[in-house]
Amino acid sequence: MVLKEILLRNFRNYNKLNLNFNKKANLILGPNGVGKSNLLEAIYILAFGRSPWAATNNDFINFEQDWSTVCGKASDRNIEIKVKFLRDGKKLVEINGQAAKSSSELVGIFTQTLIGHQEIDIVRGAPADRRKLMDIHISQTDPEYLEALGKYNKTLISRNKVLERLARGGVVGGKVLLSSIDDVLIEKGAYLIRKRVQFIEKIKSGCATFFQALSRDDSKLLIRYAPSFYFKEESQIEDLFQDNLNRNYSKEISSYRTLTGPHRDDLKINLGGRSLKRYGSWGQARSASLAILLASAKELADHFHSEPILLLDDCFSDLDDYHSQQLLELAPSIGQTFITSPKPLVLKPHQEGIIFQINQPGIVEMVT
Amino acid sequence: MFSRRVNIPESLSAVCDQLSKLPGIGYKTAYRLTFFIISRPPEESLALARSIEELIGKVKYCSVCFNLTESDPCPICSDKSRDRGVICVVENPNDLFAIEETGEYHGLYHILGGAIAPLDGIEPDQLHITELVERLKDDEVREVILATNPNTEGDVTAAYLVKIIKPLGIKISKIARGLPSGSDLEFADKSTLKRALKGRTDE
Ligand SMILES: Nc1ncnc2c1ncn2[C@@H]1O[C@H](COP(=O)(O)OP(=O)(O)OP(=O)(O)O)[C@@H](O)[C@H]1O
Ligand SMILES: [Mg+2]
Ligand SMILES: [Zn+2]
Repeated sequence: MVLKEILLRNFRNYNKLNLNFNKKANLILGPNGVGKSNLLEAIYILAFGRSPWAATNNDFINFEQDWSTVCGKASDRNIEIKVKFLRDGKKLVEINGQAAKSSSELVGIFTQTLIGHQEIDIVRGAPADRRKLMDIHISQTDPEYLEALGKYNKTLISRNKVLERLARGGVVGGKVLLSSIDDVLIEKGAYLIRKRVQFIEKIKSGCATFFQALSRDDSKLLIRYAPSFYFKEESQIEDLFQDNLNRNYSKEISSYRTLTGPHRDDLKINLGGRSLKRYGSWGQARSASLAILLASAKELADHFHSEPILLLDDCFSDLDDYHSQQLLELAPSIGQTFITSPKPLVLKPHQEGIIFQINQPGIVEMVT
Repeated sequence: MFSRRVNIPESLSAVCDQLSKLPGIGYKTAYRLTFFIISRPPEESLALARSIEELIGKVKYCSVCFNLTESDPCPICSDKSRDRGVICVVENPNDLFAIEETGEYHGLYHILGGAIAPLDGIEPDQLHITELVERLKDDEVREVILATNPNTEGDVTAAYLVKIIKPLGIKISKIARGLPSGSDLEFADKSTLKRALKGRTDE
């Protein structure tokens, strides 16, 4: 869904800001520290109710004020989202004037893919970054996934707690309790695993195509889901999950940690048959990360038959001219794109878009 | 709340302290409520105090199902017209009230007094599970309906009960499907709850 308009009040370094966006490319340019990423953060909040970066509700509120709002309007349907932050840390979410129970109700409305410093290194980064990529994208297409993920994580913490209690020798009916927790963990976990299998299947060919388009490299990019335990058929997931939990019991009871499950999943990313993480160059790893993110954004588009939002925060600084140009063309072809950069960027003459220039903190000028 | 220079009568801050211990009531609200209580006609505020006193004095937990009641066993447990073959297991009395409201259920209840929550230190032996198992030994009981809340604690509690009850050979069903997840039973609207009760699944 295209974001037509945003209204910020007392948000970070913006006291009052009202911008209308282009449905294709929106470039946000200006020197360091003027508030470019703050704008992207506001757009991200419309999709997830929170910051993509470590930030608390309080951080969003302008230093001089005691509340802040982010309001966004869609162009295709009549959708208006408002998120208000108060100094006591409270957050109020409204969808079309109706109070939402939690920000999870926002997920799936303004669907988004963020490409920032952390995301651009997804291939070389930690397994948790790759799981986050899957989680963020699947959650937007499937509210049940988001719910299952929340329950899974909580069950996991409970399980580790019970392992600790068992190790210390004192829970009445502890074994039965542990196996009850296992039942819930396996039910939710199996759901996550199946959805992740499907998701990777869906983005697989897109990853290869985008990689070629980005990089002039003919080697094939292959992305494979690497669950924490091997299964041949999806129908085996529950049983094998249980087997693994049983097998690891003695190790788990001494470490108070659950050693199998989707919280230990990863992705294997190969180029021309070799692990990119181990053998690839920085440039190749970057291109592959970008390809995976673009393919994930494309999957949002395919799922909803509607364009997602792509947030590209400062990801041009390490790309050469060729890659920059390719990315600048590819992203807006998938969905409405917002790009921040402290260095000048230009759109090709045939490209539709607007440039916002911020020269002084909090003051946004429209250039075209 | 106030700086130390402000001299607040001790009895006033005592009420504040008590009110702020209630769930969902912060210090600010507690002060507002206290000022409201003292500004009302004395007989109205005293009526509140007396009704609390009466509540504590009269209301007990039913010795059979752990429902809140003034008579023991509670009116539901002593109601001969109810189906004694079915027991619906809920976490709290509020959940019982929510199900009673639907008018859809005519069996008995068993209130656990919470849910298994290892993170909050709540383990099975702190709930009325042994008492439930005792009740199930009665030949009259044909079916147990698990109506724990549709959240992680509720799911774990239900899974635990299935393991405990299954060996007894009694039919077990679950209602929680279709209820908005993460919510509490007591907040589910009537029609959703009705649907959930009708469309329960076997375990
Ligand atoms: N709550 C707030 N109130 C007022 N100003 C804030 C608040 N939070 C952050 N800022 C200001 O916002 C600025 C940072 O903005 P932002 O991160 O958007 O910069 P940027 O334009 O993306 O810079 P760069 O090019 O370095 O990434 C800082 O100068 C900071 O002081
Ligand atoms: Mg920035
Ligand atoms: Zn009773």
